[in-house]
Amino acid sequence: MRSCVEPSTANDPRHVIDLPFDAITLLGGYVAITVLAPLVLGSGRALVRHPHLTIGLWLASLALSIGLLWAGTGLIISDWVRRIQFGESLDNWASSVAGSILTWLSIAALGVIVFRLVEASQSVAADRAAQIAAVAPLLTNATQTEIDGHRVYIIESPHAVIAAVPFANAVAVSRNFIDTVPANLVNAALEHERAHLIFRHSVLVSIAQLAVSAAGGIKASRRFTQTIRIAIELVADDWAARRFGRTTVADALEAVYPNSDEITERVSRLRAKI
Amino acid sequence: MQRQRGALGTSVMNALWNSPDGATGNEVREAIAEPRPALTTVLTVLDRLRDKGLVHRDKQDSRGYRYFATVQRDETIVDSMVKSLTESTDRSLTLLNFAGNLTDDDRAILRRALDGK
Repeated sequence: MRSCVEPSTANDPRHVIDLPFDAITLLGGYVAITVLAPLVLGSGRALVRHPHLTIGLWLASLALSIGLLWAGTGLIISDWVRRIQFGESLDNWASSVAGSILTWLSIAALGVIVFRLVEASQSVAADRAAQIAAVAPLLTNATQTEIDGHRVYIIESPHAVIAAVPFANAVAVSRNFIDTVPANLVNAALEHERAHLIFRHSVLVSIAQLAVSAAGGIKASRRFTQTIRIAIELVADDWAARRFGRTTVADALEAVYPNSDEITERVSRLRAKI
Repeated sequence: MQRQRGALGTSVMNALWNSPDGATGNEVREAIAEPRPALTTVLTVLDRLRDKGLVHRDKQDSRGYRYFATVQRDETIVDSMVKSLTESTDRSLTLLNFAGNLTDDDRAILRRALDGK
């Protein structure tokens, strides 16, 4: 692993300062992915055309970058520990200082990441618990039915509401919604919500929340979170459109939110058959 | 101990729901658990609840107004829970609403992509 075990040569730059260059290469890979991912995967066109594929590529990049970061910092730390343990000395004082700084930076970086991840996990868990506490009683008093293996809770409410409730693996829909929206549009909306459950979008959202909480200063984290937020809606639209047609899903969005700007782009995309 | 935002409104509504014959501002204040807010704070909350149509008041001869809840406790609770379903202020998406939770920036990305830019 370490370059320092190789015979020393005057022309070999690795021996001017003796550091674990394999680890530094891994960290370089991490930096490259972190910088390149938003540039390569941040294309709106790819997202609009292939939202599912975009999610997959982002997740692969995230996994790879995390792996490279852990491997790189882990190698640096373990290398330093090994040196201390076996009393190996570095070739020169510059190597010793640089290696020491690198090791402490690695420990600090891992410490910060772990701390922020734990903090973010607690925040996500607390948020989830609060929402469950707010919504669970509503479901308890609702009428239940089932569509293709998913529970559907019909809530007695004057509001037009439809939402996936991942913690219950169910869809909640208000009586008002069913009574006021044509049946085919209700079915399209239900299918959209079922897609969120089928593809476990709440898990993706939690990962995105953790990413942005742990490393919100990094552009890749912010773009990842944003991509997930957009892509899951497009994936759910496409899923519903496969069964009920793009026009029906677009009509459903417009019927439910007639004066809302929030759905304009999704409706345009569905109608443009992208 | 500081009261959470909205908790005082809930306490005031609870006080009114527990008083079918209505309550004065002072009686509402007395019904709220410690730390009790100032009477002026309670009257401000009652005014806001009136604006929302949750409370109405009748003039009493010399003792000011008597306040009444205009909605049933269950209606309000259900309304609040429905709000939890539809409004995700932190966009955490624990609940996935049909409208989506896209920000203005998200929509701008979609718009640019759809326009082919």
